[in-house]
Amino acid sequence: MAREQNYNEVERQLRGYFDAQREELKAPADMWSRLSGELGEQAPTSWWHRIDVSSWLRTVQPVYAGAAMIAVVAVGVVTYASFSGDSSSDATFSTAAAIKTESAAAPLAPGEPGSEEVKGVAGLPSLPGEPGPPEVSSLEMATADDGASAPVAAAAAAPPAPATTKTPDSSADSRVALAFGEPQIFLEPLIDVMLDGQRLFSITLPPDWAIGGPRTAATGWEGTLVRLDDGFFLSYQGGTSVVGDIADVLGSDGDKHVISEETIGGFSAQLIQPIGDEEGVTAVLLQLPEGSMLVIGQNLNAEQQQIAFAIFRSIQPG
Amino acid sequence: MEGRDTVQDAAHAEEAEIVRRCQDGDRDAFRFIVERYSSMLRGTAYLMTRNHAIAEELSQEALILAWRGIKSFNGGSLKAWLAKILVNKSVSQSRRKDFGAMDIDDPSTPQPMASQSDDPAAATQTILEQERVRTALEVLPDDQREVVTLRFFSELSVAETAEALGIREGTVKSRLSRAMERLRGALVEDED
Repeated sequence: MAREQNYNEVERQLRGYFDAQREELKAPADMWSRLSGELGEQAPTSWWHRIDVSSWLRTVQPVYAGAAMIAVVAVGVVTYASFSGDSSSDATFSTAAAIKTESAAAPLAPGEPGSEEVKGVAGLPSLPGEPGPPEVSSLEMATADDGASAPVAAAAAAPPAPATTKTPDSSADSRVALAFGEPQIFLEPLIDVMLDGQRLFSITLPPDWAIGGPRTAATGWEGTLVRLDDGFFLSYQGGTSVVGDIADVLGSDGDKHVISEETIGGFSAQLIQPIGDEEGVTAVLLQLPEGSMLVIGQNLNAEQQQIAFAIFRSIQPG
Repeated sequence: MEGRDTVQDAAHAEEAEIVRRCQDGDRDAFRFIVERYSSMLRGTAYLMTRNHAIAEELSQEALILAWRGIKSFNGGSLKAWLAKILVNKSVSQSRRKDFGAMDIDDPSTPQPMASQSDDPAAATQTILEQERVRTALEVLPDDQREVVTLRFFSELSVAETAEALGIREGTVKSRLSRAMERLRGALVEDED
């Protein structure tokens, strides 16, 4: 009983404190006038929100809704079965990631008409435990001398989809998709990220993502890429004195990450991902003629790492 | 109780209509959201970062992101959704701190305010009590202070707090419980 009274007393004091803080920390009265000019354009609705299943379910008789859901599941199962029965199609997915137009029936393979290979691009990070193809020559293992971690590093670095192609005109209006089996990541057309009239870089993001910033920072410029559905985000920063070396990013955790080198947007880039689990940094560090650019996420799960890598590879520095 | 539920339902319906108009691109409707939630967001941001300038920036950016992404908001608690955007922006800021991009120490920490009381002794007592609470909150681990802030300052429910932080309700309850236990030790003379 005494303990309960104590908790009530703590709660009373907390509420008193926060009530006072609420008065102290009010937003400025002119908040709207500050914001209204900065709002910008709204992001388009994703296909999932467009079909608005939840409101449809609210208006349809449960029995019809149930029947429709069963039908959708059945179609999905049949489709999955038809694909999984063909081992060669699995091989194609696991070895040839492709950026394709959304309407395309299948990913474009390297060398296929209408596709253009991006030089030096390694595969996407694989899901934990997912086997990758035998060749991982384009990747450098940060901890290859560690007998215990090397196999894990190889598994983590071995991409399910190493060769990347894209359509020749990525600035067209059609969305593009980076296909590597599941999940399939759809990217919107390139967006120019500008600051004071200068293009810092261009990037493609999946739907429902927004760009925070850029704004001037002590080190150059910075901002955030945010998935609005769940708040998953990546930070970006660039300039002459951001990060010169990947060791500055990883500190003493260097041996817990795999680092691969690629060319992204015509510039030398290092891709970093944690070995084995979700703890650690997923990032790209681009070396630019005047400084560097870092895009970084922390403790991302496997799906988030794949999305991050897809976004990283779309960067075209200004 | 029934009357209160009716009022809450009406408020919820009104907010849903405002959101729908925002999703149709109505900026005037979004002004309503800004005016209703900007203080909550700014205060929450300050209590998480301890920096007025960053809190100002975070709350503004959260509202801008909310406007740009409101088409993806599909019901539920608008307040929790806004808090979630803010929390993630806040985490992003504190991560940048690790790279030496900014110093979040703020010398202008607001001092506890006296209540509007004619009794000087009572006012002094209130100030002392608030100072004790502030100090006790400062020594809480970040994850516990976050939960306490969202529950008692932002006035989110346990479910909304879980949504805003992207964690399970059980985790919110356990963090809250641990925080309350620590605060009890700091704020209440133990009579057990």
